[in-house]
Amino acid sequence: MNRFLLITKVQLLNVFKQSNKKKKMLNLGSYTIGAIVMFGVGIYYSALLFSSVPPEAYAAIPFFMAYMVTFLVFVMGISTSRGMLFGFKDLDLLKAMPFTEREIVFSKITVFTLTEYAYAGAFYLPVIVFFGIKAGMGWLFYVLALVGYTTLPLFPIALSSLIGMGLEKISAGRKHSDLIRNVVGVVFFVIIYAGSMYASFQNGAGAASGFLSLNVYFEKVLFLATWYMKGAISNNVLLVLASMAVSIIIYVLFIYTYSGTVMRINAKANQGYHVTNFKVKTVKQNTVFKALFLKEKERFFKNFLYVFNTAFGMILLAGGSIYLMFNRNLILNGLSEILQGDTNLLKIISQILIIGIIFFGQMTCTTSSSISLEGKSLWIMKSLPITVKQIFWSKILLNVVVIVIPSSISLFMLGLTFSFGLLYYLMGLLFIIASSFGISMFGLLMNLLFPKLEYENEQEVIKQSLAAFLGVMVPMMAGMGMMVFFFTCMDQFPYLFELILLVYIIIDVIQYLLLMKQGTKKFEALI
Amino acid sequence: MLEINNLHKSFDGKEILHGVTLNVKDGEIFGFIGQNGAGKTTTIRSAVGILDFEQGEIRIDGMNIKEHPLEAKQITAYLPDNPDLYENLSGIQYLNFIADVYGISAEKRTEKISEYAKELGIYDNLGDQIKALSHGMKQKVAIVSAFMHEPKLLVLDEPFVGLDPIASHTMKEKLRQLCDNGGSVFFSSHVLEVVENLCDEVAILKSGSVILDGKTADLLAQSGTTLEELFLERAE
Repeated sequence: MNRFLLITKVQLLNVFKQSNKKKKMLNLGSYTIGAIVMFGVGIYYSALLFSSVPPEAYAAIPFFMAYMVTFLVFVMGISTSRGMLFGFKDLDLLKAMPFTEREIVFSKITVFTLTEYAYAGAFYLPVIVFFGIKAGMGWLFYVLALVGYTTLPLFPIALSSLIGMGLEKISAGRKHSDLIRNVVGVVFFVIIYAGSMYASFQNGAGAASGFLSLNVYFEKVLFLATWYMKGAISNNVLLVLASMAVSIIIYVLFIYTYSGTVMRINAKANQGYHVTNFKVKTVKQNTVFKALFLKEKERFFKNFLYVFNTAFGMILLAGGSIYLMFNRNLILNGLSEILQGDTNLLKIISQILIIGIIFFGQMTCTTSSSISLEGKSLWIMKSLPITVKQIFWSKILLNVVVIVIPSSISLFMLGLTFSFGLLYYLMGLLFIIASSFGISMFGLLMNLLFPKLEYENEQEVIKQSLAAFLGVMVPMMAGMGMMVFFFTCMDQFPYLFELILLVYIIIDVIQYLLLMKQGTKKFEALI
Repeated sequence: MLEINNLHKSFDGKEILHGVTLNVKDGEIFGFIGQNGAGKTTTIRSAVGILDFEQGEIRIDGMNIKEHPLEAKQITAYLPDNPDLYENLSGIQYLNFIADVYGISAEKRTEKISEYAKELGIYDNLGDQIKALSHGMKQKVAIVSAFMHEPKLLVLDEPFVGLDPIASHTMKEKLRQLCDNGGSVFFSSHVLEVVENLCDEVAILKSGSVILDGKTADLLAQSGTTLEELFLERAE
């Protein structure tokens, strides 16, 4: 086999490898379920999009999705490139083997690109099919949309990787490299996020008139996606080809730049930092639990990928809350239209906003990869005089803190803006706590069911493992379901909000029992 | 100090250990040798509570590892053959974490960390991120973490691999000191000269069974050979 294909194949296999080699069929089944879930999410999302707009606006949806795919690949690529393109741990091993640098570099780019394709395609392709059917498009549309898709993610992949490279260059080998990466990455994302929101609302759209208003902003910025979709819908082959050609040129230029510096950056990225004139200082003694929690905290905040992938919802929540504070009337006017004459407007707004906060919390799951991240150092946890419960709670508490602090601040900010009563502050807080424990325990259960202790870089665990996927997707879907259920049924049940809160608490209790019995056994069986 | 009785351990239905029985007495350095795949690491990992086992009993200072895992682990230190530590932490952060877990006071840990780190020649590097350290340096950080809570039982898997000669010498001295103070050491090694010179008792494991166990001096006197020759003869 060609050496490039060989090295690429091995790395792809490594990405999907699970710790328990005996359960190969189970792993295969798990990934099949994961793929079906992703595809299901794509279909569900498509149906939701098409049901939310009138038929005359259908054509705007594939544009919107093309922009979203470009945007998401870009945002995710910044964090994903760390580990896959830079700082990969098998560099020394690969360099010592009879592979050329070019083969190593290209295999890394290929695996990275294929991963991004898989993520983007699962959400994007169902929309294309939905649109084709709904709008009665001919066969050429499908051909152009599918062929054009093969190059659609190339531009965001190249751009995000270049930004990732820049971040790596300025931070590699420094003591606070992860802090630098986290801050720059988050600031960069917030600027784009806030910019797109601002631009779309400046265009007179507003949230009430829908997500499609974002098209106005993206149309010019992401011109390649615009060319591509315009070409596909109008059967303009040349426009699609032009979009593809420019994407490929940008991608090739990126490969040229990347391959020239990758080895140097990687060598530095794997080095870690050194301290001069070190002296041992007396530090305060901590309890066992606090020590475990601090260890989890260090692991989380010192890992750009971990923060960016798992605390994404909290960044969105912070941005959204700040925006709503300055655009109070947007919600009031929008909901007044929907709830015409309802005397409980403020009460309903309080409930809706709390449920919105909960939804963002449900996208935040650090625990689904926290056991796997112990990796080869699992022996430390297992040989120390600590209980499994202490280990579990230290991991759960980190996720709870990551959710509860920003969510509570949002609750307070939105409470002041929309005049929540004391009861809703308290219920909101209780809801946030119940939901944060729920998602944390769920993530931990998923990680215990699908552990991945052997990996080359943490990217495989945090972003690509089945546990991480299920730990985010299932609660997110449940959160979406809960929101839809609340909106559709709130008129019929006067205490629906309280009922949902009660359901969350019951789920917490069930998960706690499962974790303490089955979870403990699973952890003890890990080797 | 460490009693392993009739230990059976299987992986995926295949029995790896077939009734291993060993007894490490107080104040004794016990060497554990065998070919690759003989089951040394499995025995060691079972002894320190990392691996569960189907049959048999392991007691540390009289405490059953299954019934009193925390109490047994509190007086034990384990050093694996390949010390994979928390790469993102610095050496000192890792040592403080371990000190917290074992409840070592602030003053005592400062004293012990400084003492052991200086002796092993790692003091100046404790502020470095663990991933910036070489294999040997990581090994030294792990050694400091193992010694600093003054365990009664030290269990080590190939402890001399990757150590420089000075650190290796210091390590041997420390092991002897620990035993002179009433502690015990149980370690595996392929370096038979070290086992011969350092250990009070030695056991040879072959295909999951102990085929020879006794006082090092007695075994060598009886056979009239070196440990290497005795091992080659028995292991074949």
